[in-house]
Amino acid sequence: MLNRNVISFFKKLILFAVIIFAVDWVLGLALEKLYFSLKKGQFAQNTYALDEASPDILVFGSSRAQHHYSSKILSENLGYSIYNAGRDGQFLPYYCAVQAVILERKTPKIIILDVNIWELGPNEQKYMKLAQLLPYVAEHPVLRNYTAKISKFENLKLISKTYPYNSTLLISVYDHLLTNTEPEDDRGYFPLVGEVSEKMFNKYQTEKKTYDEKRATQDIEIDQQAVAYYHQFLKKTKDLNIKTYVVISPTVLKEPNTEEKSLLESIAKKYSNVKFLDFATDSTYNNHYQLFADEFHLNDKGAEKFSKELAELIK
Amino acid sequence: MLFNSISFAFFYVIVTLLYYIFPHKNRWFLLLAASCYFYMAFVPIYILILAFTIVIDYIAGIYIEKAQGKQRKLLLIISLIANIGVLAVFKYYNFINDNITFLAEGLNLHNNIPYLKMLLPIGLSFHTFQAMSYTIEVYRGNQKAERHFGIYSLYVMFYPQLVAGPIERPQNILAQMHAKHEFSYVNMVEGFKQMAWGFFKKLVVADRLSIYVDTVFPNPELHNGSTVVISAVFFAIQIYCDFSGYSDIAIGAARTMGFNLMTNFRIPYFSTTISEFWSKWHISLSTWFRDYLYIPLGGSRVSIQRTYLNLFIVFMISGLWHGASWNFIIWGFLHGVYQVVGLVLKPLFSRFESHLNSLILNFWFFIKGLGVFCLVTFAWIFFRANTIHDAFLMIKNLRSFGERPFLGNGINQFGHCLIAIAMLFTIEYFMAFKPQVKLFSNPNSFVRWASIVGLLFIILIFGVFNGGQFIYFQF
Repeated sequence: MLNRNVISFFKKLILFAVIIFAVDWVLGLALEKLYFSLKKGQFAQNTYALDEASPDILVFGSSRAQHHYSSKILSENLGYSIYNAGRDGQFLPYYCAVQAVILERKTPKIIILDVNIWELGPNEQKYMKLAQLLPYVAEHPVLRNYTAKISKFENLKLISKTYPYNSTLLISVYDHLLTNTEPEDDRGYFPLVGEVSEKMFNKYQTEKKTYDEKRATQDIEIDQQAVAYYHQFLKKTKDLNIKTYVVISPTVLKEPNTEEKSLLESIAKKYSNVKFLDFATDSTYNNHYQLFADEFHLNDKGAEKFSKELAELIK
Repeated sequence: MLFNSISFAFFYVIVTLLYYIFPHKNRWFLLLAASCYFYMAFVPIYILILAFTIVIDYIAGIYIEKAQGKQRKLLLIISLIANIGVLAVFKYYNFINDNITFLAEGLNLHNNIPYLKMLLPIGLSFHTFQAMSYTIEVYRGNQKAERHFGIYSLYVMFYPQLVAGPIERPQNILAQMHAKHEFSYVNMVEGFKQMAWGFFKKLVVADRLSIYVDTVFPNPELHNGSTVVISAVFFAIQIYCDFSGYSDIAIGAARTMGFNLMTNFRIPYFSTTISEFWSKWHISLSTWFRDYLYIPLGGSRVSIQRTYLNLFIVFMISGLWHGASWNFIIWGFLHGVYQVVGLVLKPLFSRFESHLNSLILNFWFFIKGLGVFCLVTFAWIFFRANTIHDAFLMIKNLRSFGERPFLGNGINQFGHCLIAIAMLFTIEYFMAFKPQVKLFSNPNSFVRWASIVGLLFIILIFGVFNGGQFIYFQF
């Protein structure tokens, strides 16, 4: 016979579970409401990209896409509607997930995929960052295929209504409180202001030299899963016959021809609808630090120049 | 199997339930089987290393107890050599080889000794030290040799503390492994609370700070002095929460089955001297070194110079225990220096403090506490840096302190770090200085329940899930 101690424990455990379930439900609803009421900032941009965007031209990529492709210039020069779905710190799995959702809604005429030279290198973060998609899984079940890559039991964790909003509270509150001071994005494009000084440029050069020397001694592996995602992204564009540009956008310092970079190019060339454009060795940008806001990103002037040049190439 | 994984949640619930369902006489078998499964979830083959040391020490324990005089000592030495030998091969072989190569190159010679290509068995230093404490205690006559091979194996392999401690003593844990543990409401609830607190430290604080720390430390050439200071402070807090969080989960998990493991941390960052810090940090290792190395060397009952030397030896070996690299030796050396300087300054400080009124004395203790934190944090740079060169580069970069620091990916990442630290230190402040303000053990059941539910939802909202493994697993 179970003793009273055990019965008392399990009674309280059940009560505790009920409380946890109720609080989770209420808190999850509150966080959901807070999250989806955002009008500006990265979460609002994610919501627009996944729930509404259906333009003629779609830009995918990381922060370099978000800050390099001026929606206004590309739209005016090409005569098409555009949305820049580039997001800070994201990688190929994220681009594929967003592509899957948007292409269910509309087939664009042109896709621009901005890739970093280290896109196919190993980086565990590229899968962890798919957590940004968790608030959208309920609405877009196709995303489960991607969020499952975050961890083995990721979809089980979605039983919780609060969990999808993990780590979103701070930025949601911040965006709400400072909504009037936050700069507006232009159809996903977010220009960066300011320019790199000569002193900073010299510092970048020294640091880059040390970094490249260190990298040269390391045995960098190719992330085969990232390669598979890259193929998946391009294959989908081919299946839907979408004109696609894979672009390595300008860098302030000339990037060496690494194994990852060569692989990006050789894979792109296997698809007849894809054109590969490499600006990382373009002398009109390399060393022209006045066109850059920091080591990795063009500023508004640089983005304007680059977007015009790209529009001419696409025309 | 990581404590911060869903797999562990399933494992823990199943094992704990079965533990209370199984009859007492079979519980050792259940726990041993569960511990083997837990360990083999990392690298299965390495269980053979554990089996080797278990068999050696089990036999050694019985024969040491029976033997007399020199034979007794000889058996202890054989057992210690076997344990240290395993450590030497798996942990220090390549390090020693590296240094031989370096010396050989200096003499224009070529070192042909091959390197071993293998992963370090998880938690090797922990269970080896625990095994060594058994044979030493049997030798000293403080512990009877364990006749039950299964129970002895469980002493070394008990899953909550197998891979990162606390490093238990046989006197505390072996008797508990024989005792029958009835289901206890208090043990269950207190164990869960301690586990929840451990998960808060690991998921909300340690894994959040690690995102920043892991960006800065591998690339010191890219970061200025301000960033170095922030990353060093973050690492100091990260390693504390990572390791003490692990200990809390381990102690809590064991408590739910009725086992009382030793306390491993007592809010060390509120210490006002380095010796106080070490009496509150990784207590199970500090006391191991005190009992089995410092005191046998003479401890403080020798000349003052010899005491200083003893302290240096202990901390250098403690550094080497953590890892086979000069970084850890320098880290240990620095703590040795801190300890000796602390001993030298102690009478001066005591005299000075006796002249202060209580208000100024409190401020003085705050300054001393800050000083201790800075010294400990400085030493952590060597502990965390990938190479000595990286550590010195970071220290060199301190010259640019004051420049705009790197703030990670903006408000979300850095803001979460600051919130996590603020929550940790606020709660720990109350634990240390206002123990009468109880949250998780408040007599008012509403406050008690609300604080526990609140803690769980703080973890759910602010925690980093899918974070990395525990730092101390590598030791």
